[in-house]
Amino acid sequence: MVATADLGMAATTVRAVLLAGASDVLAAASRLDLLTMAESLAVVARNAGKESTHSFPLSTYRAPGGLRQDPGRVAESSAEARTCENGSHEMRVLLSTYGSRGDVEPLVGLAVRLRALGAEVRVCAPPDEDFAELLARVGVPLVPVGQSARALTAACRRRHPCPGTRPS
Amino acid sequence: MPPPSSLPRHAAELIASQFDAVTAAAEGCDALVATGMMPAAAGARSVAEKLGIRSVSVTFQQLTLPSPHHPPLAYPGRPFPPEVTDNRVLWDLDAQSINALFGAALNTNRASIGLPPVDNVRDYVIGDQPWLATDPILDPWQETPDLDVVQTGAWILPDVRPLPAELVAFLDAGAPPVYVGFGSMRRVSEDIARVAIEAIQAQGRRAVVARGWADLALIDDRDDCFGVGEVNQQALFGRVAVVHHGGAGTTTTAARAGAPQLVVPQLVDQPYWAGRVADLGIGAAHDGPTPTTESLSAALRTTLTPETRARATAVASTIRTDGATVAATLLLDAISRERPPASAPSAST
Repeated sequence: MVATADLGMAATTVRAVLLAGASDVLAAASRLDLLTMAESLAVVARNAGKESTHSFPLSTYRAPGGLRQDPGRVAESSAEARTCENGSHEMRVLLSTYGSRGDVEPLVGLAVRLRALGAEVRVCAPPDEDFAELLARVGVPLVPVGQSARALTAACRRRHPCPGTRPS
Repeated sequence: MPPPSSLPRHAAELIASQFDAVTAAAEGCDALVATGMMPAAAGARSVAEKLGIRSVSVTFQQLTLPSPHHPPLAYPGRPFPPEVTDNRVLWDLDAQSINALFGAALNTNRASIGLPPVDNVRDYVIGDQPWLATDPILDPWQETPDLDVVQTGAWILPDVRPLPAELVAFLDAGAPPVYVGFGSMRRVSEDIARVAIEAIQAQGRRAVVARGWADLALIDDRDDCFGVGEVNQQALFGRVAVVHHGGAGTTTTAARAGAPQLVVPQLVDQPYWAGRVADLGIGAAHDGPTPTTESLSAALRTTLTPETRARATAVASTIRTDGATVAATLLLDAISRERPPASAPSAST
């Protein structure tokens, strides 16, 4: 059986939080109070401050460009007018995750393609510096959720030294 | 053994925090794509339901999607009865485990925003038509009438950052080195850097050691090892063999780069990816998470053969690179279909 597990696993989605140490991870993850949120926003601001596309609140964010960059594929699709089909607004998509790099980076890959096809995109993810930098690199706004995924695993490690991590 | 008694309470708190954050972020959105740990995804999808927004669930591995073709992973403290071997029965037990762990947590939060309870948390999170964002060669999904899975291909974020000049100089200074890195793993065995470096040196190779979340470090100041932090793996993996933990992303990046890979799986889905790498002949799977110099050397010998290199090169060209575009197009098409049609001239005259 799995005795313990890292939160910091790549690409494990559903099961990650449930492996041992999970109660500690969850305890830490659930401390989403105003202070944490303020710190998270500050981290994002520090790391992404040079990115003109990072602005809060998100309701004021507009994706740069908004032009389709993949006319070949779009021409095959039924979504002929992605930006303002009925003159109301662009399509807006929220991508939500909580996990480690393997749970975040693929969503950023999707975010970039959605934006290239004319949609406005934002990503909910842990406020880790790694993820803030990743999103800043492509100019997609990060909505921080909870506390640092890496910090959670550090806390977990202190409480569970020398764990076995092998799944059954 | 029951789960830790505090788990449901903590799950409830985590879901509550998701409700707050995602509700604010989803304002004005047409669709939500949910992934990550189950309480987070359950919270996100509930918010979408409340707001009347289309949502879809995605996983970056297939092991948590119910299928008669593979068993579920057991939860800690909730082992399956050893006499049960029917996968469908095991998946029913899996649903029961998830309900026991998260049902109350999810439904308490749902009630707080006026949503009805769900009776199967897992199936609620997965939904009617989940996406599987993995490569069909690396992670072939066997269709089943039980679940309509859309496999989009892996979602790859193109990386155009140049490699650091010092790293390029190191790569240029000799035969292709062997990269070792464990991604976001924190709890790798204490001496894994030393074991890996010694095994790599024993094969006459140089090493590139990625710090990662495990804070791997060089073991001495020999000039046949080079330490890196955050680096463009897409560029680097084209010039090295790769020793890694078997995360889906790293496995896919190495496969796409044609890099022979040796997977030292640490947990959860990583043994699966290790097995896929070995089955495809594009590398080797280490048996277990804690290598010795001897065991790693043996696996490394397989990884570094010309046959493995040739196979890795051949498979690389079959890895799809358009998964994110496929998914983006699917999603935007679905939104378009749901929107009211544009005002037709006849409607106003």
